[in-house]
Amino acid sequence: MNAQLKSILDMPVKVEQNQVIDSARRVFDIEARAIAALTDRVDAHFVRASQLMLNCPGRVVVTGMGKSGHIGNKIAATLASTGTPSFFVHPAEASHGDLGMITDQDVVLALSNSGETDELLMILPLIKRKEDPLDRHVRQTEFNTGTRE
Amino acid sequence: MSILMSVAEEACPLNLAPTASTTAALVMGDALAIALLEARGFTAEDFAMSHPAGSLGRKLLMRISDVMHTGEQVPCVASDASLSQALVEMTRKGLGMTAVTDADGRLLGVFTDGDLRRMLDDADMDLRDTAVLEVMTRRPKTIPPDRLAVEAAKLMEDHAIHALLVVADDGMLVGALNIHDLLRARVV
Repeated sequence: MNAQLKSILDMPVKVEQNQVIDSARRVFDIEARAIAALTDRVDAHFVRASQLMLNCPGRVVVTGMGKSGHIGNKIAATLASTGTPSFFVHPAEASHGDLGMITDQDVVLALSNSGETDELLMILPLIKRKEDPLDRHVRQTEFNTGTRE
Repeated sequence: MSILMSVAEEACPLNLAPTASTTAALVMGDALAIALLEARGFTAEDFAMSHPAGSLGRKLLMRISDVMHTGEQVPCVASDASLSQALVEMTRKGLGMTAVTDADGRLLGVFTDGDLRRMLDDADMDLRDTAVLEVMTRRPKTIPPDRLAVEAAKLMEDHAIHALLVVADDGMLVGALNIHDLLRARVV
């Protein structure tokens, strides 16, 4: 047994092997079901969002706080590398000048878990004031009101 | 406009840490990006334009004109050159061959190290008293300068050759490259 593996096994708090494996499998299961459920979410709104982004003369500006910000960063990077010019704007920075990065040529993709993120609610009316074809898509997950299966 | 998504539950047992919901958002973002990619008819070459540092980008963007030797570096003799003049040119330029062109610079043929070795088999052949025109290969494999470097690699592999002459549409010799140039450019 190599020294590193031995030192890990000698640590004072032991994991229950079956428990950690069960936890991991439960996470895969829950997240796989969350993805499978998206099939029903690809509706007229998705079509309109695609249409808007496809015809966007400017950039797709992605924004979101916290984990939604991390996901938003990745979405902006994926869009940019697949032919849809895009960048990420931090909502809190937007209120301190970065709103100037957004023009009336752009489409804003705003991600929010609750749909009530303060930093987003503050900037969305200002973004909307920049007029069409600017629009917003708020992704709202209802996990906080969702029922457990 | 909203794309509403709901997840039945987060993976977090407290149903607090965004886990399943962020995964779902990530996947929805991919769905949007790929739907747009397909709607635009986005190609692998388009992808490479934004990934020039990757090996895919290198393979899809590097052109013959980016890796070939030009001007004085191209081994080339006139059609009235002797074989020994051709050998001196091959040695000087170090690509293992030389082009033979007419007075205007149009490619007539090629003479390679391999051709020389095969000649040595022929006892009747006098190396000192032979014109390159008599022993060169006519209509050699060539490639236009605007083609991708990977195409040169494929051509070399398919025909088991180590070097290629680069010829423009009008038949003029514009460059030369060998397998080492492709290795240096990390195309192969």
